[in-house]
Amino acid sequence: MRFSYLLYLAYRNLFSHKMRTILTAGGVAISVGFIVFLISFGLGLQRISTDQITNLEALQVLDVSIAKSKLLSINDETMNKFTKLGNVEEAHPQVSSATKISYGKSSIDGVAYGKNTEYLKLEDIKLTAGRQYTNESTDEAIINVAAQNQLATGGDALGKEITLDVVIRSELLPKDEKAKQFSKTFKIVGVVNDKSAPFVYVPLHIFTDNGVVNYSNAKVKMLNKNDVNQAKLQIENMGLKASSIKETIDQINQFFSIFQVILISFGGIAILVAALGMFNTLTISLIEKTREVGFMKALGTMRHDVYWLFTLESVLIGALGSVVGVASGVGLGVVLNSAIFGLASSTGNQAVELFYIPAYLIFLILGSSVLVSLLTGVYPARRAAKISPLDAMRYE
Amino acid sequence: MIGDMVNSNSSGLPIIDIIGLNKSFAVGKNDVEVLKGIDLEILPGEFVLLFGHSGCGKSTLLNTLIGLERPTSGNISLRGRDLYSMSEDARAKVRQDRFGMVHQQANWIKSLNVVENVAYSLMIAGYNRRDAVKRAEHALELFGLAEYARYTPTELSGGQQQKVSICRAIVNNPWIIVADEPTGNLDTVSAEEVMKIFKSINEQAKRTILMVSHNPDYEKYATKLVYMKDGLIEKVVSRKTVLVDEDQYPSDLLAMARGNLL
Repeated sequence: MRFSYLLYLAYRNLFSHKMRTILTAGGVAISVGFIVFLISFGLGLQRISTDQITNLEALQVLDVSIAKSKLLSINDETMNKFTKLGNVEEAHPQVSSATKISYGKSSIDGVAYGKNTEYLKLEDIKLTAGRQYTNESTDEAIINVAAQNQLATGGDALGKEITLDVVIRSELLPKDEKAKQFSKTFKIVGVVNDKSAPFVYVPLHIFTDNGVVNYSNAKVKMLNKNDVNQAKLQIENMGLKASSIKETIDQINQFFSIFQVILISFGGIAILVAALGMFNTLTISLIEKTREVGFMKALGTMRHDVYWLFTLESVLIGALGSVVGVASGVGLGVVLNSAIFGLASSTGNQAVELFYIPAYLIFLILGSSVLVSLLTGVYPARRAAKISPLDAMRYE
Repeated sequence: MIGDMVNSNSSGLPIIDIIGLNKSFAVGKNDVEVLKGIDLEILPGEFVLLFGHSGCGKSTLLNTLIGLERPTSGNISLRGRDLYSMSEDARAKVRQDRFGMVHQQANWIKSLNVVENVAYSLMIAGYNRRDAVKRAEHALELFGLAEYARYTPTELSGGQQQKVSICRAIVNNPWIIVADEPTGNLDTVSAEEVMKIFKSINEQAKRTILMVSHNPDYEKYATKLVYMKDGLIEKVVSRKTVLVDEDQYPSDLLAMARGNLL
């Protein structure tokens, strides 16, 4: 018999039991949809967490700070040592101090950071308005959105002049010097997208000109992200504290792979239940069709044609169920994503894609559920193929 | 041997040759012998009517003949080919091409309509669907059943269903039509109609027919009468012998049946 006719016959058999077919395929659709939904939720969450933290370059960067011991400090000499470690691309320091930020009559407490543009690049800061300063400029500053909102700038701080009253702690100064304070006026050239606590970025020389010799912390960028772990050990051996975002990401990924396994096992249980339902339907349909199958064989239908007829019925149910399931699983994700997007843009928050599934995974799920339905069909199909025509035709 | 063959003028080879056929079934611990050494020749073009009481082994003989029931001993050959030395699939192929079957109770593939059921005989032989349906429609036309082509078979009357069964049996242009009490469930008018169809298939299209019946009135249609009793052939009567050489065999049964078969 031609394969196309077997396919047609399988289709007609399924079509003549519409309700049964819909219910069985519905079981498959629900479980496949459930799996797609769970996986895209898991992957979406994972992607949000890792994407938000970092770009690829950030994986190569180590954050160095002084440990609890006050004996050690990060100064130009230390920075030199960093650059002489193997495989270091660049190393840049920053200084941070408490400050009062004043604009007009408003004044708030915040943090002033002294850092050069190379450091800003390593941090991968996102400006919402304006530009960066140059390392040499003496009166340019960048503030964050929090500071812009809290100062009476009317929501647009660009070009406005602020005055900083910075307190320099003794640790930052040469030995035996006491903490001191300086005051300086800056023009705001850029606003950085950050809503946490108010802060201001100024070029590093603003601090060093005021006597600062020790830095608060530093970033060390490696040539390759695989060098990060070794450099971390070396820096820790100097008595300093080093951490990299890579560790955090590794931990997040580890957490999500466990999370995925849990989600997939839930989905696996759902698939198992659907497969049992399908097996049940096929067996019942075989019992019901015993006489018919016997007669088909008496007419001269070959065993393998009977076998393929039953297998194809099973595969058709599985394929119908998985296509509907994948479509509804993906569709639900898309609907929820756009709902989140709508909600986020109406409340002024940044929108996230909570559900995400790559195309290859969709095909993998489709393929494996069709495979499961093929395997489910094997046993009933073998039984059907083995039916003795005479026994079957006596069967009522 | 009781069944003394009366085939004095058998110049042609038999289309079916049964030699020393035995068949026993295990019932509990005992073997029950159903066929006890059957010898029978069926010649091309014959209309053989098989008589016998229930349980005499008629149906077992038919089933063995069409390759569904392996005999305990003995041989059946179809135009010289031994049926049971073939593989199961090869016997299925013989049923596809060489036999047309009509049962007492019409059997249907329930998800297919009338014309598709008739076409199924062709589909299993590898026809494409369009050609098969076209030929099946043509066969239905010959029986005056064209208007029922898209019906579900069970929507038809018993007589109509039996005619569709005959349609299905002849659509694949078989050598032999095997009918197991084809009129058993029909009223006398429909039964007579069905018998006339068989007769015209035999006479016009020169097909060999092997029919099991209980009705002695049908003797008039047959060219050979075979009486069975207790697993043995009691008597064979050849009324007239119509021999058909293989060369004379009409190439297409449907084309041969001129106009309406009724």
